[in-house]
Amino acid sequence: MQKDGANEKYFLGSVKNAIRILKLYSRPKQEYGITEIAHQLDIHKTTVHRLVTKLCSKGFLEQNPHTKRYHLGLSILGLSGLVTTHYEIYRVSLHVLKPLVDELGETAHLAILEDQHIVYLHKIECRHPVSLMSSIGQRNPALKTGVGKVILAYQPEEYIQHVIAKSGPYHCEKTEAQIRAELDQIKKQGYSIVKEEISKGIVSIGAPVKDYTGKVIAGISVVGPLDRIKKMKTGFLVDKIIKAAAEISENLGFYETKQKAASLERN
Amino acid sequence: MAKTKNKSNSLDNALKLLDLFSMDVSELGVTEIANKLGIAKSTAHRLLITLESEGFVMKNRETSRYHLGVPLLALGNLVSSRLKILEVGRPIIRQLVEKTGESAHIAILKNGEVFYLCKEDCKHPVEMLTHIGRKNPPHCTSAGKVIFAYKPKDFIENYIKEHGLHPYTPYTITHPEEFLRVLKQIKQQGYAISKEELHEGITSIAAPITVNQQVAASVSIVGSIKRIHPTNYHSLTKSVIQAADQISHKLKTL
Repeated sequence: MQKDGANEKYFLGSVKNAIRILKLYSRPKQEYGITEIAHQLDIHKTTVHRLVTKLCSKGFLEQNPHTKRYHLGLSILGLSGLVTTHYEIYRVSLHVLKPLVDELGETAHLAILEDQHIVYLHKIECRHPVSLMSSIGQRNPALKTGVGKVILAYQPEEYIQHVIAKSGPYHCEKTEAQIRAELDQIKKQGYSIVKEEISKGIVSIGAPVKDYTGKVIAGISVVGPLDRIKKMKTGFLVDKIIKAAAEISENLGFYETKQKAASLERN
Repeated sequence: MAKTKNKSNSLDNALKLLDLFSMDVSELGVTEIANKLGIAKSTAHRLLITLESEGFVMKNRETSRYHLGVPLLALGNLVSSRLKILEVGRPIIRQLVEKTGESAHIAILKNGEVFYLCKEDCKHPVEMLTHIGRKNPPHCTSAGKVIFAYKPKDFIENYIKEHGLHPYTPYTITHPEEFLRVLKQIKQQGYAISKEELHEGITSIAAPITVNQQVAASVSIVGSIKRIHPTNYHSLTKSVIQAADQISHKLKTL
């Protein structure tokens, strides 16, 4: 999604480079010097210096007075704080996902669809996490993940078409007919199970989250190693995950589940 | 806005554009942005597609307006993982939320504003008043007042000169002398209470966190006056002070 749509020639070079500098930062490495940045991004040192100075003046970077190198600044925290506030779902899902992780002992995610990708809003790790291809804010191809497939399964036909068309290289091992059959099946059963499609030995079980209009806007997934998931009964896990997803939907104002339960009780 | 479209101007504008988003403004359109920044619509559009290409903003397909992008969450997480005060403080304020039943924060003073570094929500579906990275005026929040209380007098006087004591509710302290007197009292008692000084119906209680023998941050709880009530000020204050002291102590022994 990065490159398509917009014409790259219209991009503003200094803005693009400034963001590339910010994105350079990753957990194992928290500080960079000017020369390192210039080297890593292949931008001239004077340009890097000018951009870094500007980013510092606005609080996006800060200089460590001891090492003279730069780390991410509090303005970033401000923006990410806004993201968590604007996404209502981020807030209302936390109190549901935490207990789910405690109970099941596996890692849980909350993700939303962005074009043909999913983006993780929450990753809540269990006590014995396995290394997964996910982190908060990261994108993965929707068609390769349990949570992506379960969100997709409920999208309108044109959207599915769009994602399949755009995901070309990601589903080369499957035909369009196979993908469609899989999504149909997921929608019919109300959850997805994906085995080892992104990481070997890893299973992901996903369920849909609906907003107050009943539209599927997100998904949750519980992910863990095949042997641990097998030990718990799949049916048990699926029940728990669907229930958690329904609870988040309710927090967002979707009441069908409640109405259904009430009518079941009455009968 | 200057006519010259030099390079630093576009980065300036991009950063200003990001700054237009706030708790109340989650989506912005091209024309709106152009007007607010005083730039041409075509320039605003170029800024947006550049920011979008890196995921800093996202276009809402239905409204054709832009909102902040989720990749910012990943960067925000990197900042919080760097800050020792959060590493130490987060589990402690989580306990504080469990104990008091109210939302809790860790905040610092930055450029004359209270800046919330971390927030733990309580289970009440409350008033969304604060969020991480939110900035509030210090003179009418307990989180700000308690940090102010330990600053030298000229620091406070400078603040008043620069920002004034703007009234947000009928209960905001607006007289400099009274403000200084209140700060003195806060320092004596070691905590601050701000009852409806920023939002009507909301009270907060804060205590100072000390780093290198200086008050550098604060712990606060915020909630409805119905729950944070004079009858339970004592026990709530005790819990807030305890949490702040615990954080100060842990930071010292790191």
